[in-house]
Amino acid sequence: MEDRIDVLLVEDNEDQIHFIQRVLDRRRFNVTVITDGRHALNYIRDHDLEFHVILLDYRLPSMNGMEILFKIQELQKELAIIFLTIETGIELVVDAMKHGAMDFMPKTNRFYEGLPSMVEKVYALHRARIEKKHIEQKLMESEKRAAEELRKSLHEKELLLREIHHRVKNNLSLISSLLHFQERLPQSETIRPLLANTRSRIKAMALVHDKLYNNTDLAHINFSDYCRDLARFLFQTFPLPYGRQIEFTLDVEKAVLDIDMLIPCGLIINELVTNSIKHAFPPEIDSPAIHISFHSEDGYYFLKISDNGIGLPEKIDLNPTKTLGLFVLQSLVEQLEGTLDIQRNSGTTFSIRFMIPSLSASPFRK
Amino acid sequence: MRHLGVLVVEDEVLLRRYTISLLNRRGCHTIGETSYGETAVEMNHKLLPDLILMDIRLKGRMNGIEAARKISQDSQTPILFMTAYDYLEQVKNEKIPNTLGFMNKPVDDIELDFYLNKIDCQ
Repeated sequence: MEDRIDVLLVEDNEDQIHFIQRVLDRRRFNVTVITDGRHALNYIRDHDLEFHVILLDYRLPSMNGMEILFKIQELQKELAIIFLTIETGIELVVDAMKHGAMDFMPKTNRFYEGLPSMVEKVYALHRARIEKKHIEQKLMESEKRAAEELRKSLHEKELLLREIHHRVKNNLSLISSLLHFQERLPQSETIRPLLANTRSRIKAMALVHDKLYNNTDLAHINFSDYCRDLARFLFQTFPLPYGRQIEFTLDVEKAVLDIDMLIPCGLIINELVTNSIKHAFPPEIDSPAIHISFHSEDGYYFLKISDNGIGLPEKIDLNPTKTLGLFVLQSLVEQLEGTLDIQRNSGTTFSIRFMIPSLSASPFRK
Repeated sequence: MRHLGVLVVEDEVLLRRYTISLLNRRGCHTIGETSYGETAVEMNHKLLPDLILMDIRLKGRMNGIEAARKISQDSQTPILFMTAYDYLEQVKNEKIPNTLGFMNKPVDDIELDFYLNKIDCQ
C-alpha cells in the first residue's frame, strides 16, 4: 500500500468541507482543515513539511487565497497547491497559476468527482519536481567537485613538469661542470677543444630547459633571450685571441616554438656560432661580427646565422670523422625536416628553412 | 656475421645516425632510414630488408606499433623494437607477429649483438 497523502484544506464553508472530506478516501488521504486565511498562512509557514498538497479556496475570512499565494511565493516555498474557486473568470485562475498554484479546480457541480485524481496528479508532479531539483543540485555539486579536482591535478602536473625541466637542466649543468674540470686536466691538452665543443652542445640543451621552467606556460620560451644567452656563453667559452671582441646582433621575431623544435634550433645555433668564432675570424678580419635572425614567412621559419669572416672553403666534407660540426648540423636540419642554404658573400650566411608545424599533431606524439 | 640489410625507423635523427653507426660497425648494411611509420611500411615493401629496427614514437600519424602490425601483415621481416621503459609493456602486450625482441633506448652494443646473433642462427 502506498503512503497516505497529507492534504491541507483551507476552506471556510462547512458544506464544502464535509463533501471534500467525504470524497477524499481516508485510506489514501489524510485531511487537515483550516478555515481562516491568516491562520492558514501562519500554519503553512511553520508546518510546510507536514503535508503534501494544499487545497486553497479563494474566498476566505481575514485573507483571501490569492493573498496567501503571494505570501507563500515571498517565502520561496515550493508547495503543491490546488486553487479552488467558484468564480468563472479566467483572469483569477491565470493569476493564481502565475503565483505558484500547480493546478486549479472550479467549484462546479462535478467538482468533487475529479478532486481525488487531481490531488494524486499534483502530488506526483510535485514529487517529481522535487526529485528533479534534488538531482540537479547533486549534479551541479559533482560537476563543481570534478572541475575542482581537475584544476588541482592540472596544477600538480604543472609543478611536476616544472620540477622535471629544472632537474634536467641541473643534470645537464652537472655534466657540463664535470667536462669543464676534465678540460683543465693536463692530460686533456690534445682533446681540450673537443671537450669544450661537447660542453657547449650540452649548454645549448640545458638553456632550453632553463628557459622553459622559468616561463609561465612551460611550453614556450622567449627565443630572442635564448639566442642572446647562448651566444654570450659561446663568446665566453671560445674567446678570440688577443682579446678581440665579436660584435653580436640579433633580430628575432616573436614565435611559438615547442621543445621538439627548440632543441634542434638551439643546437644548430650552437654549431654555427661556434664554427664562426673558431674559423671565420683570422687576425686580418678587422671588426668581426655575427648576426642571428629568425623570421616566419609563407608557412616557413627562416633561421639565419651570418658572419663577416673569411668565408667557408669551397669544398665541405660532411664525413663525421672529419668535421663533426657539419655532420651534426646536417642531422639537425633533417630533424627539422628543413633545408640548408649557404651563401658566401662578404662572409658566410647559413639559412635554415623549415615548416611551421600545424596544430594537429598526431595524438601519439608527446 | 653476414651482411644484413637493415631498415631503421626512428624519429630522432641523431639517435638514428648513432644506431646506424652501431649497425655499420657490425657489418650490417643500412638500406633505409625514416622518421615515419607510413614510410617504413612502404620501404619494407620495396626494399625487402632482412631486419627492421623500430622505434615506437614516430613522426606522422602512424606510430611504431601500428607500422609494425601493418608490416607483419604483408611480410615476414623480423622486427626489433627500440623503446624507452614507458612503452615496453604496451608493446609486449601487442604480441605482433615477427617480433624479434625489444631493446632499450638508446641501443647498446651488447643488446644489439645478442639479437643480431639470434638472426644469424635462424
